[in-house]
Amino acid sequence: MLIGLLILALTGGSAGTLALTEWLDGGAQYAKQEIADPVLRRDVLATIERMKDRRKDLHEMEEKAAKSIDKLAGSRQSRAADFQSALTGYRAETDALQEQLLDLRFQLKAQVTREQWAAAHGQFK
Amino acid sequence: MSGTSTRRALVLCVLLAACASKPEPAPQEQGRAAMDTLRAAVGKVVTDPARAKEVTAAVDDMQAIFGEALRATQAHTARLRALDADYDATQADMREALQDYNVGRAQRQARLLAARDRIAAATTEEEWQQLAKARRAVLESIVRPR
Repeated sequence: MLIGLLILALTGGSAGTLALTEWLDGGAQYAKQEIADPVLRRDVLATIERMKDRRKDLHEMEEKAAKSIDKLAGSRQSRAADFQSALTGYRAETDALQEQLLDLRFQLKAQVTREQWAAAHGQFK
Repeated sequence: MSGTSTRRALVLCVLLAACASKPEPAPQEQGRAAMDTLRAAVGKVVTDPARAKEVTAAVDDMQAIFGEALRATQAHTARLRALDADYDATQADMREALQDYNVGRAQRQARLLAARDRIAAATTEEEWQQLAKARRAVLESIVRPR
């Protein structure tokens, strides 16, 4: 499956949304420690968890697509056109998950202040 | 760690290196050395000069595409990271960044597969099988843990 993963990952893949999710662990830590309102803290953590779930979905979908692509890549008889079905499905699912991550990112931003947003991101650095 | 998890970890090593603010000594350098190894294998396995030249040219293209992919991922991640940190960034701005990246990704995938087609067309089944080992070794070298 390595070749399939590379075709997806080195030419695109979940790396496209890395910047949206790389700070989530630090953001959750910040919310647990610094958001005093228990209802707000719960809601913020729930949104972060949903973003992590979408990230996991993205990885699982990528693994599945990589298996299909790797099987094709091993055969000399396969041609670029043979990969299109797997790649088209992969792109459609990636686009949908990217959009869901974006929606959740803006939902999360709406739950916190400008200062909290900056501090939560600061946890990652 | 399962084999799948290990492979994913290896791929992520490349991507994280590509996305890091201060990249480690470059995946591009490792890719170049690995591709040199593959070109050497082509020279040994594909004895017909014209076909060997065609396969080598396709390997050159693949190397260029990998380099472009790493640079594009770095640039895209920096762009999206800046937008994500910006409280005032709009959803349209971020969607545009993702769409730009997705367009480039699709183009790189198509070019990579075209280069692969050229290798398949220029080799015999026996040569293809012999080069498969070298191709895999190259890819594993590119994504070796760091």
